[in-house]
Amino acid sequence: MVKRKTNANDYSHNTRYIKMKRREAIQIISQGLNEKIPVISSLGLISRELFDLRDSPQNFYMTGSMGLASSIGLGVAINKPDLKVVVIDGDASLLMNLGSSVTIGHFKPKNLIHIVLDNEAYESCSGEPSISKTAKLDKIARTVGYNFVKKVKNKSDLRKALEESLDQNRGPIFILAKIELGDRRDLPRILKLDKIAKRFKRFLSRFN
Amino acid sequence: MNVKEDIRKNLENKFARLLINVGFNFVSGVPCAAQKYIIAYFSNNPKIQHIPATRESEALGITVGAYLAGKKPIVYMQNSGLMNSINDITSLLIPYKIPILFLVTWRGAPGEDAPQHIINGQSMIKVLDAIGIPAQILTKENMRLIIQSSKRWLKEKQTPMIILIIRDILK
Repeated sequence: MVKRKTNANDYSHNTRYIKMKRREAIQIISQGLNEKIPVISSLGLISRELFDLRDSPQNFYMTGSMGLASSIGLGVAINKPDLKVVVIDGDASLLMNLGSSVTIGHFKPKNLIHIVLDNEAYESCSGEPSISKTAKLDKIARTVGYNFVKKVKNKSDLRKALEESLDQNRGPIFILAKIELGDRRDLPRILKLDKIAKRFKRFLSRFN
Repeated sequence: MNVKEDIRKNLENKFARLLINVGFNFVSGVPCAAQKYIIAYFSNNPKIQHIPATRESEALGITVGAYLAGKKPIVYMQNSGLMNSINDITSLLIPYKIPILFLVTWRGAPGEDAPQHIINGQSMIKVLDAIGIPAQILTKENMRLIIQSSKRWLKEKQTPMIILIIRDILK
């Protein structure tokens, strides 16, 4: 038997150098955005955390269709060129629909800010490891054509990267935010999905 | 171009033109040879914005974003891609009430010569029926009617409608 080099259940890397929890990262993002910036959040605990922290008409919580948050963000960004559009994605969600990043890199919407919360795991399931640890998502983003790419591992760097992203108009922007594995799970479930869509559509209709 | 091909091109162009004329102004999808003149027409018409995708699910995501931003979107694909996207239809389009018009090539319809399409082709209608999505078959005679009824369905039901395109049916 050959001994495996990596242990699928080894999360030690997460505690070594990353100083940010999921809730903290989402709090920094939502506090850093004014009420004119639409947010599309990926499924599972990311959307539920955002919903719990600050529910707002500017948020579109995508609760199913894993992987499509960045595609929805692209569709919004292309059609609302005067707005900054923020996508809060997860590492495994990004990997599930990696083609979306390639399309974003190709069409280059200047106003799209794609944030990936990367805990190297399917945290919304049971924390099974994803393979983002070896994928170098920031390098992928640069390679496929994102114009501005940042990798952050703590709260102040995330805050700074977000401010810097909102200050400029040279997207698509990719922020890889490494976060710790594990956080609270007792978050409210989003139930009225058609109302969320209607509210978000009405919110967007106020802008060009 | 031979006469038969010319007729097909004209009919596909007419169909695409009618869709644009009733207000569809955004399109995404993954190509299928059976829709080549429709897709080409979209690509060359400034009244409709065309963003091709790498995968049908992705195309759905892009059109959902476009719809939320105020566009009237179409998505095009082969039914192989439709089967790839069933979860996105049932967990995104239907529960969020997002009305998108699908143009879907029906491979595996009676007369199909490629075995890999047969099971999809035979089960597709049952799958659509099970998730509550209607589908209508396009012919050269029903073009205007099918567009009008689809438009009405999208507006009233706020869920997707599928127009099925069978190879070589437009002639």
